[in-house]
Amino acid sequence: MEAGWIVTEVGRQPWVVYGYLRTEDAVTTAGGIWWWFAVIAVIYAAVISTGVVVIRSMAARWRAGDDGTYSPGSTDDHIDEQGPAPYEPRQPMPAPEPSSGPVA
Amino acid sequence: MTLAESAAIILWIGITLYAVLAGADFGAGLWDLLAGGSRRGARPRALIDLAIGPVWEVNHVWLVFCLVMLWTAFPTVFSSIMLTLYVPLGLAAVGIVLRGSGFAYRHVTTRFAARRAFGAVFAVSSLITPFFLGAVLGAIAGGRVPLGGDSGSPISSWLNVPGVFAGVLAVVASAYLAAVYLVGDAHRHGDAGLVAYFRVRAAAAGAVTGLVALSGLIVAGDDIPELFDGLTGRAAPLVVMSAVCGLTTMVFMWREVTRFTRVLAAAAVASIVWAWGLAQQPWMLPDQITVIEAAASPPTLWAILLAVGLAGIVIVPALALLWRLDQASALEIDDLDDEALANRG
Repeated sequence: MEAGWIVTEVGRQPWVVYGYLRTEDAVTTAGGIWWWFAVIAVIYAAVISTGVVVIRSMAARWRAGDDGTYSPGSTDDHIDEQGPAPYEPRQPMPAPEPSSGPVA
Repeated sequence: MTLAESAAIILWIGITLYAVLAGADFGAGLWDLLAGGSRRGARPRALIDLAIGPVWEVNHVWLVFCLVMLWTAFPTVFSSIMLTLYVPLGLAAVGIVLRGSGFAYRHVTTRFAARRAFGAVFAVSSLITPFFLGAVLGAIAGGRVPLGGDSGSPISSWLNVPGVFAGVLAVVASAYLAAVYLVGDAHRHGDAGLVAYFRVRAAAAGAVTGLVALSGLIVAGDDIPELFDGLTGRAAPLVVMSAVCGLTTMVFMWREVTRFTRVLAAAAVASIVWAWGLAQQPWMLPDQITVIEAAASPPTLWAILLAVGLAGIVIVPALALLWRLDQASALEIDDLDDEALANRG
């Protein structure tokens, strides 16, 4: 999707409206645009890196077999009571030997 | 009614929907900010999470709709506004980005410190965005946006009495709407404590909003005489309607009536938006360009009106379904008690 976006935006240069308006003529005459660019770059860098960290920790919790509720101190016992959540592994890791009865 | 006026009316409908729907989202963030410490505020914050979780992204649709409508149907006005008011608009956009990410990340983290940090980002930006969006409207109403935009001042165009006033009005009106809607949500969850909690706040916010809105007449009288004449003249019935709806909502809050409170609160805020539009007639930018002069050429207007019509046919049923499911609590994946426990840390 990003590749397609780049194609349309770079491919249309130097026109903003093909044959009628060039990009350099369409650009705002307001001052301080580089400041805005810097602010937005910083904010998006922060949001994206936070997002990566959050998603990785979600994945780590999923691998650990968290039952999905947010109560602090929830243990694996909950899995027995409620069954696995939709995207959860069927049994917590590390898996016990198959002959040792119900999953702990 | 001309094409241009039809386009303006559709734009105003978009602004109204944004105010009464997304305004409540912003207000909910404000109540999140004011909910107190992590223990005391755990349950209200949990209700706020559940209330806006299913709908907060949808409400961005209205902002996009308003911007596209303005840009396509009234391009010279759009460029004038953008050239002059890019500071408050940019800050509002920053607020929207931080609000969204703060809310989303809070929802999926379990470490208490992280939840609290994201919650703070969410709540503070819920204060910033309506203020700056209101300041933009105030600057327009106050005639501070010059046509062509080049000579407009980036700071003093909105950092003045009408701009700041409109920003404050937007913030308190958002808080008021959110509190009234949250009373309804608390009822749905059967939590009498939260019902009482938000009823008090709805009444207080209603009183504050009413006072601020009425003082708008003083601001207009001082600063924008044409607008004052409009508000006390042809828009006077709407001003009265806003006051009546607001007072009735407060009485309903006090008497613990549950029906129609949300509709009345929304009507009170919507009347303010339409009173402004009607009072400012025929100007789009006061004293500079009228609605009809500012409009794009007829083929463009026909195209956008057709697009809006088609979009309405597709979107309205989907939104109605979302509303029905939300009101039936069918979209919540968390439990109020679990959320409150997590918020408590």
